[in-house]
Amino acid sequence: MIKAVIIDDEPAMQEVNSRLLADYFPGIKLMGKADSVETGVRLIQTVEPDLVLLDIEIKGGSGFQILQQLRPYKFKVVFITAFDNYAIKAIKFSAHDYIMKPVNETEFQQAIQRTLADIEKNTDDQVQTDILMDSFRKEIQSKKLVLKTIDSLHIIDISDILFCQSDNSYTTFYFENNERIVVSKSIKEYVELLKDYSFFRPHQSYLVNLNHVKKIDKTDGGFIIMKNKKEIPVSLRQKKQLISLLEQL
Amino acid sequence: MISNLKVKYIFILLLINLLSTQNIAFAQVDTQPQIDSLSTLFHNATELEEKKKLLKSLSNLYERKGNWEKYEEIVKQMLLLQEEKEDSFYLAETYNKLGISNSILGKNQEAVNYFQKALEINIAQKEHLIEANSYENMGAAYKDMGDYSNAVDCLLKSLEIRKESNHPRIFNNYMKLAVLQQLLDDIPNQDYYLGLAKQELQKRDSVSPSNFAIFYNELGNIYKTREMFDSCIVFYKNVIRYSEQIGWNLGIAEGLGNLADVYFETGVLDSSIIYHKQSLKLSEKILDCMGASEEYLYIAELYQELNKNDSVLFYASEALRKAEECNLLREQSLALKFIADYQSSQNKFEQAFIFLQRHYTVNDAISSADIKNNISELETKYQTKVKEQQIDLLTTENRLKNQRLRAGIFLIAVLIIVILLILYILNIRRNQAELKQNDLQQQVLRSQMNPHFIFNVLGSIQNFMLQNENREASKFLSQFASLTRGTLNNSVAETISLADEISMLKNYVELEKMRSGNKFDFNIIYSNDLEVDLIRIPPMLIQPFVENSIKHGFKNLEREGFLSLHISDKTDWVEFIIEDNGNGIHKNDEIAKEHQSMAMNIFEKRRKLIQQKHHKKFTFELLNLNDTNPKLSGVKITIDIPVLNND
Repeated sequence: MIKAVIIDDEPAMQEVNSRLLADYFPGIKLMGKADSVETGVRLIQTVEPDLVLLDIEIKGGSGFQILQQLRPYKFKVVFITAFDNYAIKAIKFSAHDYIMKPVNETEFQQAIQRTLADIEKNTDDQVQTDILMDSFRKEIQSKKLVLKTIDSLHIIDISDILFCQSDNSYTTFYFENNERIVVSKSIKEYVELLKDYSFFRPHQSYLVNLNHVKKIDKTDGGFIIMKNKKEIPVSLRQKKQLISLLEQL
Repeated sequence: MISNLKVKYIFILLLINLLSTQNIAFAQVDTQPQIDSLSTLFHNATELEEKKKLLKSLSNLYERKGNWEKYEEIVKQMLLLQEEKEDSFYLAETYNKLGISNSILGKNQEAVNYFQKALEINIAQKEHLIEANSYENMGAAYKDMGDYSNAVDCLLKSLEIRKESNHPRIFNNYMKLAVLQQLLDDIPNQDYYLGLAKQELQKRDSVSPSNFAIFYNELGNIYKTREMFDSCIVFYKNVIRYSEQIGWNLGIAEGLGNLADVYFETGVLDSSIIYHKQSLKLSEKILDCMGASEEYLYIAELYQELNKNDSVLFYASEALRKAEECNLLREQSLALKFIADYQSSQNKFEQAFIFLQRHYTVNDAISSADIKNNISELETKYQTKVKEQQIDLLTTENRLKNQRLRAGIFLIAVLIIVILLILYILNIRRNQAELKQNDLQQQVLRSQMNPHFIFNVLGSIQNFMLQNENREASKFLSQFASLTRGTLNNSVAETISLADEISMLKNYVELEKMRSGNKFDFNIIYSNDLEVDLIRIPPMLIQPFVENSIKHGFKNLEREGFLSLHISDKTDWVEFIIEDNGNGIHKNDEIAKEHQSMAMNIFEKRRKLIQQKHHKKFTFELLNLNDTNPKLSGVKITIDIPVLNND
């Protein structure tokens, strides 16, 4: 039996989420609800849940404060948020799951499903929590990124990424020595996250770390040649911007 | 000839009196010992001020002595001293002195130049009385040059200044003006000035007798030219009387000489001789070599007239001796010529020849001196002229340069103002455009998220709930939320990715489809290669057309409606083709028209603004399908939205 709690300052949302949990996940037992930092901490300490549905904006502060007070913890968190802001960025950097308000049932199911899989594997995700907290505190300047695959959490230095390649809703990260990591998220997510780390999207399907670019081949529409000799196509549309960006580096 | 020389001398003495009025009767003293002691003092002097003072005194002594070459030399030393320490008052005085010496030595142009320099300093220092003196002196120099109009001009200026302070030397101005009128042959004016001069004399209680002497001397001269000799004699006797009162020997000599002249003119030779002898005595007394020599010769001439041969030769030899004693070449020449002529008339040709030879030798000396003088004078004149031309050239050049500079500065200023104005206007226009754009985006937001739409969607969701179709209600609610989120984010952005635009359109059409109860279906078609994430376009331009198709095209439609949206990449723009199979546009559909025109209005404003701001083509085309094929109905709209990636 999986124990869960919901921390949200909006009674209607508490209701919606508990309803959805009951409907779709009969194996999860809801142990209680809270609406503030203080009551949330107490609730978690009392029931020791496996899963916490945590709203970011709650009474008395932010959901992150609860996590800060309870560290180190073993439960898994799914964030709930009403609006896209820097908190979302921290969540994305650390590869945590989140649900946008109002809840889209499909998204809800997927997010909870993924988290249940993590609970089953009982992985140690202390590092993931560290990156979450770091990213949140420093707002954007985290040097680490968490990549979550079916079987593991990869903590990587952003500067080690050579480039990313998109394949529909999957994204492949390429590193030195031909290492690669495939995650089931669209490349679009990472464009936003990495644009402040001199990453550039030369093509619809590629996101390139400009620090690993060796040269630009201008023949035949144009190619970026990476330090590992991999060639990446450049869309005609992005050529001008790419050149001006490289000149600034 | 003799009296002309003296007239000039007196005329100049008038100038000199300015500087040393206390020394009217100076000429009878031998000044040489004083000069020697002052020279010694000067050579031992070290203080600048002391040197200056000594030089000034020395120059005054030479002036009294009538040694103008020495005088000029001293004054030039004064000029050098001035250079050591600037003293404009002293400089002006020095220039005045140089003017006087040049004037007496016949270098009138130079004299005028020096007076002019002195004048400039005086004017700058506002020394008005000295300024008047300079004008007076300049007038005298002009008169000697024969430039009478300038002379009159200077004297009048001097007079004007002096009248302001009722200066005693107003008399001198009147006298000089009277003399000038004679040269201009203007007798009435001459009488006028003489009258004024006399008034001036009588007006003052303590007038120096020398002024009376000068006055009567001039009067005498004037009446002599008018051939009124009786009056002449009276006037010259007055000259002598007034000069005697103050022991002014030069005045007495002048009077005597003039008197003698008049008697000579009237044929009373005895009297003439008597007065010449008196004049001679006086000249000897005051050590006036030139005067004495002239008088001796004059007497010799008179004795020749009277055929007193012994006396003729005696006086002529005395004249020669006096001239030789003082090294006066001109007087020597005259005396020698006279003796030669006289000997020849006495048939003593041998003697005559000897004297004639001596005469020519002296003449040679004179002419060579003259030639030298002439050459140097010409040289200085030439150099002055060249300098003047250079100065003229430079001033013209400077003026031209200044004019050009001013014109340049003016032009640049105008240019800067124009540029600033243009920038200001452009800035205002850009701000206005921006405001307009913001305003339009607000309007877009309002038109898309208008209350009508919001509440209808909410109402539809409510309907699902009432019919217990909770899953459906929940699904549309999240779709509505997503559309709202997109609208809030994107309506303020200048550009949006094509992917976001497509996703918003999809959300919107889904909601509309739900509201209509699935009365129509739709399809958004684009190639897999379309760079939806990379292409950026202005947001929410397509929605009004889709809305029109659904609201008006599918209104009361009996068959199932179908809406398609084709999107293709045309590099510089994205082509959207919206096609429906609805009612098409009917011209008599008033309500549709009204609504359409409002949406069109906003779209049209935005289209123009974007086109103007980004200088990119932005067209749209509306086609009623019924117009091309009667079997078809519906509307086809083609919109080419510019890609704004690098803007």
